[in-house]
Amino acid sequence: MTAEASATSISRTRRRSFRSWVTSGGVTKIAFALPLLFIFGYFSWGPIVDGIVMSVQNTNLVDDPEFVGWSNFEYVLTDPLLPKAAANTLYYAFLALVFGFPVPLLLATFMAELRGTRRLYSVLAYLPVIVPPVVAVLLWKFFYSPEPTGLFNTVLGWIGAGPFAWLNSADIVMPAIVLESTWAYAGSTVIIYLAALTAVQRDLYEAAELDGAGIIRRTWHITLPQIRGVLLIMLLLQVINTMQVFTEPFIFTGGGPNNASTTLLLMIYNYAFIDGDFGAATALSVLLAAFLGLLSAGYFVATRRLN
Amino acid sequence: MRTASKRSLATLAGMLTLSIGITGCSGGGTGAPATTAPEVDLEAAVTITVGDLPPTSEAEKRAFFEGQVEAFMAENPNITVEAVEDKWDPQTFQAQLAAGNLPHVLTVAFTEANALAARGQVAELSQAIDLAGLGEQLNPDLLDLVSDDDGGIYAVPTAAQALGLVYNRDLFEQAGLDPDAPPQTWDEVRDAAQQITETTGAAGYATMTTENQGGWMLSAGIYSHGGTVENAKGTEATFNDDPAAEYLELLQAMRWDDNSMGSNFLYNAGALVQDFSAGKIGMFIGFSGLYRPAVIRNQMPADNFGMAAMPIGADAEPASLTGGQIQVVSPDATPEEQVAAVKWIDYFYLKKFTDEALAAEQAEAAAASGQAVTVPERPAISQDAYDQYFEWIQPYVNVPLENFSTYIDAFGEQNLLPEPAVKAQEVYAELDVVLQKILTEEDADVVKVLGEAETAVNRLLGR
Amino acid sequence: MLIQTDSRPIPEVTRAADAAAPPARPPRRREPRAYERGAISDMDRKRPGVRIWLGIWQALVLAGLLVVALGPLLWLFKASVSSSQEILMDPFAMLVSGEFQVENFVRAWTEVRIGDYLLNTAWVVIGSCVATLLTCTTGGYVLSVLRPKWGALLSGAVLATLFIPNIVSLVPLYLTVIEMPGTGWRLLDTYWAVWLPNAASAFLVLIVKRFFDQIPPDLYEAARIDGAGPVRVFFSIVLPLSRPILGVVSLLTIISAWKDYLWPLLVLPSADKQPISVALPKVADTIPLNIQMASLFLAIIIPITLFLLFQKQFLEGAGTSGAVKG
Repeated sequence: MTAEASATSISRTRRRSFRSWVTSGGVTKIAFALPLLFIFGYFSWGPIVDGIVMSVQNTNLVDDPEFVGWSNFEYVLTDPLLPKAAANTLYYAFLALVFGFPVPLLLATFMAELRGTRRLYSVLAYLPVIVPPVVAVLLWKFFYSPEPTGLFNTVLGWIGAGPFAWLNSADIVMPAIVLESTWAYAGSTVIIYLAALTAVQRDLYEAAELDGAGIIRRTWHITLPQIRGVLLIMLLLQVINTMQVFTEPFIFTGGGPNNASTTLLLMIYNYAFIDGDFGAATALSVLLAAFLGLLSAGYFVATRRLN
Repeated sequence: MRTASKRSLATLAGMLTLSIGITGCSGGGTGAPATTAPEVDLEAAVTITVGDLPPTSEAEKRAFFEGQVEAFMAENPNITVEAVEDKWDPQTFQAQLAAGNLPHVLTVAFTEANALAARGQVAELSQAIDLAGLGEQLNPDLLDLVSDDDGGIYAVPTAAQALGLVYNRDLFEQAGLDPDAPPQTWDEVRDAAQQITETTGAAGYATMTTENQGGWMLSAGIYSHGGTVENAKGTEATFNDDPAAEYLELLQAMRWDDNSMGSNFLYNAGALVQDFSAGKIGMFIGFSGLYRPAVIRNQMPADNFGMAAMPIGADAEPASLTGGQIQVVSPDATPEEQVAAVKWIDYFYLKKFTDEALAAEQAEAAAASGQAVTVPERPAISQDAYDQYFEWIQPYVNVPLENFSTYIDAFGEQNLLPEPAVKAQEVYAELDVVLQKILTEEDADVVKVLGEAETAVNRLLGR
Repeated sequence: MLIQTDSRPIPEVTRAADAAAPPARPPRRREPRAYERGAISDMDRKRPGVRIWLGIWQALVLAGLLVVALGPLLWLFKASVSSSQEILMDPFAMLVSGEFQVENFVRAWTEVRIGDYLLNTAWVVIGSCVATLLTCTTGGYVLSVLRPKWGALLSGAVLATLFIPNIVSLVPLYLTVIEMPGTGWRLLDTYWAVWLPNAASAFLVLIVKRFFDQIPPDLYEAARIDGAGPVRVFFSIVLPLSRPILGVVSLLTIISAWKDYLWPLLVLPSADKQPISVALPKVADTIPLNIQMASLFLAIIIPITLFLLFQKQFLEGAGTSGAVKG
């Protein structure tokens, strides 16, 4: 029997009159739905609608909101900082892919072949994920000290490199932040890939082996295609997550130096909570959300066609 | 000399009052004081919450604060004071305000006064000030800064600062410079910085660059070269001109030609003072209150902390940026709570300037708890009363006041200019970027950088 | 949680999730030593060339993981018991000076009050977990088992939120918390402001629903014949059977609430309510460097201990959750 069948068997007892609706559990159904309706109504659906409405309003918490048409969007789109913040955000997402996509995949593929020690490797790989991002950033902020006695500069000094300015350099700041984020988040990607890898079909390996395919070729032609679904989803999720990055640039640099690490989310934060300009903040949020929505839609169309 | 400074204070008072008046009209704030004063029962039992309780990591300040709360409640048996750690933070102040549950009394910067008043986010205090019997102590010039045209008073000014040059006397000696003759002009600052870096390896000069503090310090630098940041009405940026360019070119020269500014260019006040205390920075623009974090918290030897007047630009008059702290009262406070709040403000911040016994008592308690007694500031009261106060607390003073002498002596000779009248913190945030650009991009074009910042600030002010 | 880790706008993800999650049937226990083969076969493993290379790679990867993952944390411990001067002058000086300042931890605990902040974090985490479990189980029960006529609509509305990046609701959510429309409740600066929005996770509601979908319907039928109403079915059949998925939901909620920064920063302005993530950056500049490091160390020692104790649950939760990052 399927779940559908069970549900119909419960609801089949329902008759049409209000009274029997009540006695047959109509009230109970609503009562069970209340927490979900309350939570989602107030904290998910409501704010989504409000966000769109507020983007065409002037809201300052003192006076009543006032309809202002496209002027918030106009203000945001003409902000000289916007192209830079958008470029920074894309750059961050790009670097996060370059640093954060191949390494976990290689590591997970390797770890899937381990036997008695797989748990040890998994625990080690996941350890940084357990560190709260704020702690990780504060720690790495110290590692990135621009002085010759800074931790990274000391280590690099052993091989005669540096000292580097790290967060103080508009050119290095983004890679530096991404490096820390990769350290902090890669472990969870490794574990997800590993879970997917343990679910691949084994018998194909035997066939390939009989055909004389080596270990590398077996991995390339059998393992990877089977986890392609997870890979594609993780790829998209990573892009969507990294394009909404906030904590790392906020605590590392506050967006500096000279806005080299100002991301779109930092701009939204500054509009809303430094300038008190909620209209501009929601307008930019709507634009970013629309972009991410289109991106996912496009991505799905594209990957579906590939499949 | 003193009249000169009074005159400029009065001018700045005029400028600020004007802007409160303007924004007050459009913002629909609670402009005028209540015409029909409600009955206020001065004996009723009342409980107020006051912010700025120092965190436990600053044990001595906290102990002193708590002791003062006890003493105040003993003197005013009908008032109960609950101290909380909330404090003003420009990065999250909008959120704190929106929360609406600020403590009854909170210290904020002068820059917040006009926006808070215009939005009705703080209580109007003229009646409470009368009832608490506070009127006479207050410096009328400063009081004007927080009043509107109709006589409404929106805050109690309790401390005023003029920015100046903070320097490490020990590094000066190591570099062969005379710590008793600190640089007076920006050219001398550049020479001294170079000498410090060459002989000691420390950064000769550094500056705050983040969390709006960079913009604050840049504004001070611009003022000292004879420039301004905003026009008087706060409708337009005025810093895209020679004075600002001169200061930035000086920084450029120190950073890229002399290499005398060290390697960290993302400093907020806390981090800068940490490095300064550790002997890694020779000079920076700051205020005298930084003595406390440097000496008390970061254990810099007290004798190493020196403070001089704001350096003077090439063709400019001596000028410094003045700011300070005001106490605001929550708009939700009842009239009784307002009076209690003002009494507390008076007791904790001001009464010592007119009450010899209390001055000595507080100074003794502060010294005993390991605090700095007391760092000279621009007086929030009249200069005579301030001098008098220092005589009263003489036996308890543990700050080497002679190391501030060039700073104090300059008060009368400087033009004291106010912070930008409108959206100062937002403007500072834009100016942070200017400093960061100059200090991290070797080939930054000063004129272009200023032009971009001007556009950004004008957008802000026009919004 | 709100911004970075909660955007999971893809239904495939939930499918991937429960494809990987072992549902109602008890988790398979592997026989010791009987490993399923990967790309490398048992035959390969017997070949000396493969064995040597595998050994070398294992050692290299292990060394790399130790340095990269464990190294920073060990250094943090070292810095926690050093003097500020030593940390600044030479970050690797421990072996030279041999000094060991245990009192740094005491100072971090008493002066910085790390304990209080950890307690606040515990509140945030526990409340978020309870609120999420309540929403997910009751919601999942309605959508999967009770199936009212309007269930499809509700299900669609929940699903739809997966497709909308939640950045769009950051500011309005903040205003909602300042004053909830229609009720006048002010949640700002109370823990409700963190708990309730954290519970609005469509992803978690949907994976719980999918899990409920796979409970054999015979069980409900039997209970119904015994005269059990929907409430009793919920408490005596559905909840006990769904312990595995509730464990996963709790774990994911706990981890993300523990790590959350921006949202509690916005909605808990009072210092005495702030969790450790929000408090640490604020106090960082006001305390000496070594005390700062000791504070950071105290902030991670509890989650790391928990992780090491419950590593199996953590890793399985992280693996089966498909796309939950962070």
